[in-house]
Amino acid sequence: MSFGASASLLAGTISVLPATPTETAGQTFTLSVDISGAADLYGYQFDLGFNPAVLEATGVTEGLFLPTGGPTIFLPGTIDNVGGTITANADILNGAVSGVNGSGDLLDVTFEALAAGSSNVQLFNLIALNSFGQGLVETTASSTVTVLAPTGAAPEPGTGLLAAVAALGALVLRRLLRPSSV
Amino acid sequence: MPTRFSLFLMIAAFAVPQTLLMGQSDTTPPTLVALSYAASIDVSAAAQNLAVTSTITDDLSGFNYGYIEFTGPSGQSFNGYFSRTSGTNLNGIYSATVAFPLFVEPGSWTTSVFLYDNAGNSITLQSATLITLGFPGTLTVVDSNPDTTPPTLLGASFSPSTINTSGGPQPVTLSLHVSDSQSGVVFNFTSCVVNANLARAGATASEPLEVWNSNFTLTSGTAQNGVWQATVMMPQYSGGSWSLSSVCLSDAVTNHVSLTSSQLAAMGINPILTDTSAPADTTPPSLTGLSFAPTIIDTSASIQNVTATLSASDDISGVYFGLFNATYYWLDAEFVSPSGNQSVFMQGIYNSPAPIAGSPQAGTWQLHFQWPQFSEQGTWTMNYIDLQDAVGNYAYYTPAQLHTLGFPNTIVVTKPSLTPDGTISSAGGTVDDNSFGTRASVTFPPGLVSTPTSVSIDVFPSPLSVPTPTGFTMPGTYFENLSFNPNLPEPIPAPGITIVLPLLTPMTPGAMLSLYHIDPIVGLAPAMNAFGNPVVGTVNADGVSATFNNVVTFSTVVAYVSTGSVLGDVNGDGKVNCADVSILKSSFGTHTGQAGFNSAADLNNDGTVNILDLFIVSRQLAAGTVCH
Repeated sequence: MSFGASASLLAGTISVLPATPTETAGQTFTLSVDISGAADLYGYQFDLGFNPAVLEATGVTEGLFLPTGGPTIFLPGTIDNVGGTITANADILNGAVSGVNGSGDLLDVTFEALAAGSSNVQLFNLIALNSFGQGLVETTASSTVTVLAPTGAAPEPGTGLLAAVAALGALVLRRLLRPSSV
Repeated sequence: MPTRFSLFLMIAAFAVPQTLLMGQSDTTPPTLVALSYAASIDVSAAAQNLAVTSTITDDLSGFNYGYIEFTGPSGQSFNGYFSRTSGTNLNGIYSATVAFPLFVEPGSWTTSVFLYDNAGNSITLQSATLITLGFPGTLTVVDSNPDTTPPTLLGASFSPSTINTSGGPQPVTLSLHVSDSQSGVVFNFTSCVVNANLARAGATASEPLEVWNSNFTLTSGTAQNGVWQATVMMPQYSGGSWSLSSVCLSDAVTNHVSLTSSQLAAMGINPILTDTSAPADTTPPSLTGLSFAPTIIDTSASIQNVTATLSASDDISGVYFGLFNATYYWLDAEFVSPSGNQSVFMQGIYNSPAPIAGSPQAGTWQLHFQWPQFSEQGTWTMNYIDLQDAVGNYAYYTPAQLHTLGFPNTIVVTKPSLTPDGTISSAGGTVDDNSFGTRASVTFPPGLVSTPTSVSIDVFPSPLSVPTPTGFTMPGTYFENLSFNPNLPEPIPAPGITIVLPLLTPMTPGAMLSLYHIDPIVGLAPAMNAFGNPVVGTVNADGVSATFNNVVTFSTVVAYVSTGSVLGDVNGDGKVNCADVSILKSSFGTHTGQAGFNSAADLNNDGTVNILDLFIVSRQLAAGTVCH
């Protein structure tokens, strides 16, 4: 049984598209944040994260989907090209109207490809509401942008990943031995 | 106005049922029902395995794990973990094997039993308690050739003794020359969790590099007199002078010694490792953002996951959450239950998660906590958060510091009993709460359900720790959880249901209250009626309950007393229009303590101006309104 009588409302998938674009450093391109399977979507808010060493965000515009339900209040978010975030992107309908159903484009983000490398562009802190103010559970899918060096430029070296599996047991043990008061 | 006598009756009526409202909650540890093992063992000629049998019960969440430990006169100790051989984790038979090697000390060893259940409750039964309970509390050990002397450290060194990590991590070999008579040196977890700590000179807020037993191997000699080596991967930018801040050594019968830096120096053992890295990271990271979702969970039916979104920065080496080869650092955080007896640690620390945004020098991470089923009800507080960078500089945040920074640090665990109070058929009807009677009820219209539906009404004994929304003075009613089986689709079709809630204190009949509900995803939000508007109810003629009609969103509900302001009126002009939208937009996305934060726009008073506040305003606008 779920929390009280209230089951979580499953209502679609929000994806950053295209899923695996390839760009060249210096190019400007656009990713869209699309929803599919929306059910009574009244408003949403989310943050976007990206690798600022590879991409630079330059603008955010409202998509066409939510305005099909009526006038909206759109907030294009705050771009932080140091921290690699676009925070508080939001869009919401006005008045006691129903939300929108189906699939479409929520917003579009324009990036400039800065340097060769890879960057996930992913949603987090997502809140989606229906017309009754209930939270909607949305599945999310990120985009992985590959940026190639301009023709003739040398590729950047990759980054190695270090692991220390042997210490896992020790870590668990240290937690078990941690004093209850800190 | 009630008389003093009738007021007393009303208060008594509120007070009496509270003991009945606690619901299911596992706050008691497992119980040891039986325990047996041989009274004595003789290890003079050979190692011995002691077989232990026990019966362990638990009331609700089930026995999780436990062990029995025997401690010798000088502190030698050995233990064995319980493994179930029959029954269930609520009532099972368990066995354990405790291995006693050669050379353990003779005498009367004391017994201790440690038991943990799945909700995190634990109990330790020491020897005297075991004896009082009628169980064996000692063990007689016979040995004609005991080893009671800990190992001796004869020397230590680093190779190489000078490195430069500015280009990347560098390996360093730590050698320890150790002797031990009879049983010989071992490197395991039994006595020394960490065998060596390396500290950087002058670092005050820096975790030591820890060298674990599993990294040491015997490279020459024997366990009685030999050289043990471990490879330490010194992190990039760990510039400075490093020395041994402690060494712990143990032998096979758990005789052990812990040597501090001053003791090592007195012994003439003081090797220095010099890292010439430039730059050298000596500054701890900084926490710049923290939030949790969800902030209210119900563990009555299953474990519950909470995601923490954390933003942090570090100047040079970057924020680091995971293990680092032979040594490790981590971000750690702990939530503690209201009683202090249960705790939840951050999950997934074993692999340092990549930032979901930014870089280790300035990024955002998502981390996870998991609450066991039947966790203790109430407000859990984050006891601490320990943020570290890749070279061990750390920032330790207390609850008070988190509060000062405007970061949330509580999770509310609800615990409805889910015990049915009645059943409603397709003809509709009313179900009253078994404790509060007509002051807590639900009424269904005919045709709302097609099959008999059981209704569970659970009135919480004390208010949940959720912020009172802006524009309201306080909760006017108890928090109450409504559960239906089978579940109803939400929102409920028009005309919705009627809910009656008990008041916390008597109020004037006819007074108005605004109904809120706790959404499983977004938290506290106005409950909506079948017409798409926030639900407003009135105090009944009895003065101790209030009725709310046409409710279509509910789960856990509570009603608030208004200050008289208009819901969604941010600028206080008595109207909700685009001017309110404009004010809210100007502080959208800000948190308490941040520049630009406007508490008047934080309509749900959760410390953040976001879509939940904007919903309250936008919903009050006339349909078709265009705000620029």
